[in-house]
Amino acid sequence: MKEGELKPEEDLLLASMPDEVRELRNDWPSQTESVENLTRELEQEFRFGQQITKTDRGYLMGGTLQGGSSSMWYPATQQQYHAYKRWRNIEGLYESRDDEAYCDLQRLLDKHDIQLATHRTCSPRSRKRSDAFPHPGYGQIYAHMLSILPQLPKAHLSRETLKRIQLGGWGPDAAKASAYKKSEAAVLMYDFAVGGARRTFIGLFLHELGHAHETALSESECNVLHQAYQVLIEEDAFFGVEFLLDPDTRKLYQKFVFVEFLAETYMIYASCGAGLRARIKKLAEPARGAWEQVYASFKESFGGMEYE
Amino acid sequence: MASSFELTEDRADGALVLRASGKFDRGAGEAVAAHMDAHEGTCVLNMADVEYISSTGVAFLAKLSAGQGLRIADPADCVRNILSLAGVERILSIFASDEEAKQG
Repeated sequence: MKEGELKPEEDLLLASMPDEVRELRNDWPSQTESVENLTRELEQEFRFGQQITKTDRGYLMGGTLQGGSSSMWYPATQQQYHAYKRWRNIEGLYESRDDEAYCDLQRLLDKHDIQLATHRTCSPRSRKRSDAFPHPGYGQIYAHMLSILPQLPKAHLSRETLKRIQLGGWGPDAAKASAYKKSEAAVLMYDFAVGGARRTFIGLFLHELGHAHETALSESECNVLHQAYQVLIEEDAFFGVEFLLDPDTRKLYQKFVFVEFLAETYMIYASCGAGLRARIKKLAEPARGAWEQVYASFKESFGGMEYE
Repeated sequence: MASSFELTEDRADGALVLRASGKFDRGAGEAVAAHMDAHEGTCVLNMADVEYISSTGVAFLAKLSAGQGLRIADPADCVRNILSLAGVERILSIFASDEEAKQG
């Protein structure tokens, strides 16, 4: 038997997400030292998803041009514009092709009967329609999805609560960065999410997959998790991962909405593995016991799979 | 074009009503927090005249509203859009007017 040919069972159940996902467990290091004219507040704006665009009205900072209204734009300077471009090269997602990643991703999704759709059509009215073919310029995103999805249990990809993944477009009624649409079993990563920071996309993508997961949980599983959740509320013992917003805001988000706690925990379970286990060990009772219950429940719903 | 941040205050029926205008960022959030610290009772933040809200402004609103009971009244469209983008709209106390916010 060659070395590495056969792994013991426990190794088979210890999965490892790619480095860019595992990075979520660490603080988000600032680029202000390496990018000229990048202030901390400006960096936080870019990481949130704001962009700077040069227009005939000068430089403007705001959200995605096609989806946002003019009221969301704020004047910026040429220096800030250049800082944005340099920052984007380091942390941002931008248009690029990766046909190999696209083909491999499409093959993977086909195998699990998940439809991939993109919404890049320029007319605001037709933004609700899928493109005839997935947009080739999402190469970076296809590569990220391709590195993440195979690390999840196969059962999580082959279930009725995940039938479609959409990239681009604009949310219904209110603007959204991303969403999970239960009626269509769809993960929706809107323009704001696919044009900002890589880390934000990855965090949101796993979070929305978490909604596909929590929707699939049985009533008894939800009841067990809800009991533990009540303890975590009383103890204010949530974990916050920085993407889109700061960790404290993400903790608040979980504290007030149970299903958001479940979706966020899915993201944390898959991305932070060892970090999550270490932090649970450091907690005092009763928060520790509640988290151990949550962890055990997630482990079971991951088919015993844990993350490095 | 958005103007710089301004905050005015009004007190009625034991409630503190703050009116924010211009750009709502970290400094604005700290100013609102300072007013809240100095007041015992209902605090309302009218955001009808806010022209831009930064991500740190959103984080402050989340902390002050979800965490400390600040009531947000009549937010401008740009504020609603960003709160929605950030996904925090549902954890904040948002009211259509100052009067509704005061009544809770």
